[in-house]
Amino acid sequence: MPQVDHNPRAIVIGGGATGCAVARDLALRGFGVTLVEFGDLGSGTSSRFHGMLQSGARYAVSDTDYAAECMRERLIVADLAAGVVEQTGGLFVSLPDDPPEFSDRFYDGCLSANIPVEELDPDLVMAREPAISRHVLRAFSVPDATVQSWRLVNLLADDVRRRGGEILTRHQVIGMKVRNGRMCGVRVTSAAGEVTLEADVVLNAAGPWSARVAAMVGRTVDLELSKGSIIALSHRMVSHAVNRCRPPTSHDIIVPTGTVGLFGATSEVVGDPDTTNVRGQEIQELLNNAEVLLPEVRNYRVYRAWAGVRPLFKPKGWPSEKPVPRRHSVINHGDDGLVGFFTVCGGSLTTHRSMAEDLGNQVCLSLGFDAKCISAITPLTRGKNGHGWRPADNYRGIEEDRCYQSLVCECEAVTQSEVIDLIENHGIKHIHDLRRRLRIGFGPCQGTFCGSRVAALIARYHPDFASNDDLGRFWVERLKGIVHTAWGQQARQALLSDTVYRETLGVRLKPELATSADYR
Amino acid sequence: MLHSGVFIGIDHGSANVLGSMDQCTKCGICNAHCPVAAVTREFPGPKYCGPQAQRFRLAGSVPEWSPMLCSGCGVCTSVCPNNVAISDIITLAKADIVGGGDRISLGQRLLNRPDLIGRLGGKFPTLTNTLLGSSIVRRIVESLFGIHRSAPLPEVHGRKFRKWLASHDQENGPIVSYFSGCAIENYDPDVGIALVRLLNHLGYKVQVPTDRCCSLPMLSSGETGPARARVQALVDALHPSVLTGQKIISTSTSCSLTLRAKYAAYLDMTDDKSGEVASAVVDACEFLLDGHAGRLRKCLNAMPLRVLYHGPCQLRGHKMGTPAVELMQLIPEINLQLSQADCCGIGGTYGYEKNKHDIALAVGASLVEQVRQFEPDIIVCDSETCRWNIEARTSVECVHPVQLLMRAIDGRG
Repeated sequence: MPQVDHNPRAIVIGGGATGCAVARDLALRGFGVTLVEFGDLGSGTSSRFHGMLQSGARYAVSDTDYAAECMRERLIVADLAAGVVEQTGGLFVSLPDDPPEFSDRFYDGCLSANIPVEELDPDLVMAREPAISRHVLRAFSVPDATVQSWRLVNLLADDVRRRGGEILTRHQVIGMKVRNGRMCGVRVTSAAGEVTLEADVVLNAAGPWSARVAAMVGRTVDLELSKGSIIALSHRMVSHAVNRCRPPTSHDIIVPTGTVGLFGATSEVVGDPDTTNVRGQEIQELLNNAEVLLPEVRNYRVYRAWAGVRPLFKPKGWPSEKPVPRRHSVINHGDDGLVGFFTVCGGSLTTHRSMAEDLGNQVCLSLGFDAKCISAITPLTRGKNGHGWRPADNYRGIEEDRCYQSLVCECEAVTQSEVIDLIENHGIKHIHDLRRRLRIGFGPCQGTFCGSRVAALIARYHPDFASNDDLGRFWVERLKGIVHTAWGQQARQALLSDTVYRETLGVRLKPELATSADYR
Repeated sequence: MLHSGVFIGIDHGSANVLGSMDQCTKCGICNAHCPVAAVTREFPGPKYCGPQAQRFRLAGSVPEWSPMLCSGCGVCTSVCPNNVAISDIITLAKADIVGGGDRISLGQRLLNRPDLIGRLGGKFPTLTNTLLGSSIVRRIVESLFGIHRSAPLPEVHGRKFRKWLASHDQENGPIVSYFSGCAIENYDPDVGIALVRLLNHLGYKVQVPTDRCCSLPMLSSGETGPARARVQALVDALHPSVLTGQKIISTSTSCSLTLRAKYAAYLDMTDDKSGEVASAVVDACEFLLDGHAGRLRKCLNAMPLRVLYHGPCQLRGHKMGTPAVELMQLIPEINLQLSQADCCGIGGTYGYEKNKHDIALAVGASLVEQVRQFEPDIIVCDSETCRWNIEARTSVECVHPVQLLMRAIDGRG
């Protein structure tokens, strides 16, 4: 086994939750780390989901080991990143359509996976959650939570930077450097030109794009890409994440996230990791299914719809009728002749840390580098961790300071000082990147009134800011999610919003903005 | 038909009021029309306090201040193109902030009971009026109760209206009920007397089933706890008249709007009985205009006066146009001008509070300016606290439309 006598250098490809966790894990072990992300941090699958920090109960019957891992990790994440986790709690409700025998198996599965589960009186649950079906037969509470994934990803990245690592966003890997059967670096391109980065190991954490990354050096990763579409409903009609108590499938969960309720998700095998469009028919299908759990769902406004692509790892020879396992896998491509190249895939946002730990252990083993994983016991944030995140915290702050005049995004109560801090101290210069970090444009108006205010603030600090293009791109991207939910009041909103952008602000929606792939 | 279904909340409870937040498109028309937001940066406006903040209220309770600065005028709701019950959302938020009345100030508690104060003060009207007319007493009241020393407190009149009615002979005719409310009973008997005489003139016999208060001050300041029993008693007292098919006529657009729409919106009183009472309530001017204009025209004498009409904020909530204006236009030779101000500033009991008095003055400034320029002989307004406020701010006599009409009939122009 080779022994390294210096601190090894690692390149991590992919800036989602997994990639950032891998970078942090290795930085904590003493590696020199460079993370390369072709869009903004967390702009892929890590943010295109319903925001659950799972207790694992969902998989308690189908995959008890994975459920137990989720529970362990859920506690660790909620502890390390308390400020981005909302402890909503979760409910599993059995409705007349759900298989009655599943409930007992569910309860036993949770116990086996060490998930604290409690059966509740259905009447109590229906009183506590007035928006859900009046036909709850059995109900269980589990410690589900929600997480602000963009904020989590940025916390991880900030910690990597603090520990000397480098985070390169909007850098795309265009080639790999291989010498004598060893991976020794990658070639990346960005607005600043092309450059080669040297490293001892290259770690592929590109989620649904990881097969493409591996293909650059002729390696395969057996992914099953599964698209999940989600709709954002107008407000928090539930206070817990409410699941159907049945074998995990599509359309069975409503999650209170921020100020909205997210219902999802569909599940559809796709070929292209960039498949993030949502068809109108999928939305109707979501609403039809949602009606069983949320009888009033058609009276709520649907703000937008989006989709993410789950990178599930499907081992060779896996029977097609069996659901693909959710647990992650680490592939050491050294086993098929390319030393120093690893891929991690599968898993979920909840298990991002243990995925990184698993990968880190294998990397250290292959390098003969003796360093233990300390990511679960090293504080992620400086200073006190504080209480958990509450979506009303922003509103609370504004009421306390009476700083009404400084509101930038009214729907999500985002103030000027938050925007300026990111522009000034974190080098952010796109409306999109502020949106991800601050929830700008997430509310009913979907960016109608905050876009121009944000643009004005960016322009104050970046005189060369192309505000018209950036606003156009922002609005085109917002429209993409609204267009299939634009009936009733949201259609009215879309018309008002479009008029504000085109007529009042004079933003030119160039054809190339409308046809370009996702702005990440 | 006297329209009832158009009111947001008349047959729906608070859930519908709050649910209307989803209709907001953030257009900001409500903010542009809000008379309070126009004069102070302390108040972030109805869009913020209403549909916007409501989304956060569902996500967890936080200490709030801004809703308490809303005067409850309801202009926001009436201009909203998306039927968001903005003002009602804010009022329900106020009730939460003050814990349904548990955390309400002593001064507001007093203001919320105009019937009680009127009844107590009415036992010794001369003494009460002398005391409350003294600036020293008003300073003491201000420091004890937070009621501003120059807020327009009305004079108490004992129970003059009731006494007058008891000795007033009415000929037989179709019977109508008059909801006089606590203001007519205790502070403004002349309006009631004018209405009864006017209705008698048109051949009606007037009944006054109760002198209870509609409890609007309680509801609009969030004291919903104690309001419930009072409101139920009022509904019970009015319902027998409704059962006999009578209309319930009101000379106060604010009391009548409360009866028509607010018990359902704020107290979830969506039962049939409350709904029947709500549907039977009709504004006095609306009633007079509907089928009586021809007869009135014949008996109104010329009145060559400069008259300024200020429609109170709650009038808009009725969605019935401005029947008072149409009635006054029947008076020959009247020189009628309409107020350009959205609100006189008093907002029911809002402007009485020490910390809101300056805002109320600023809101009412444009009306005062219009009065200065137009120099009316008389001002007309359908709501009592507005009248007391306008009279105090302008020193011009301010009366209810039925008083003006009765004067025209009497030839006292």
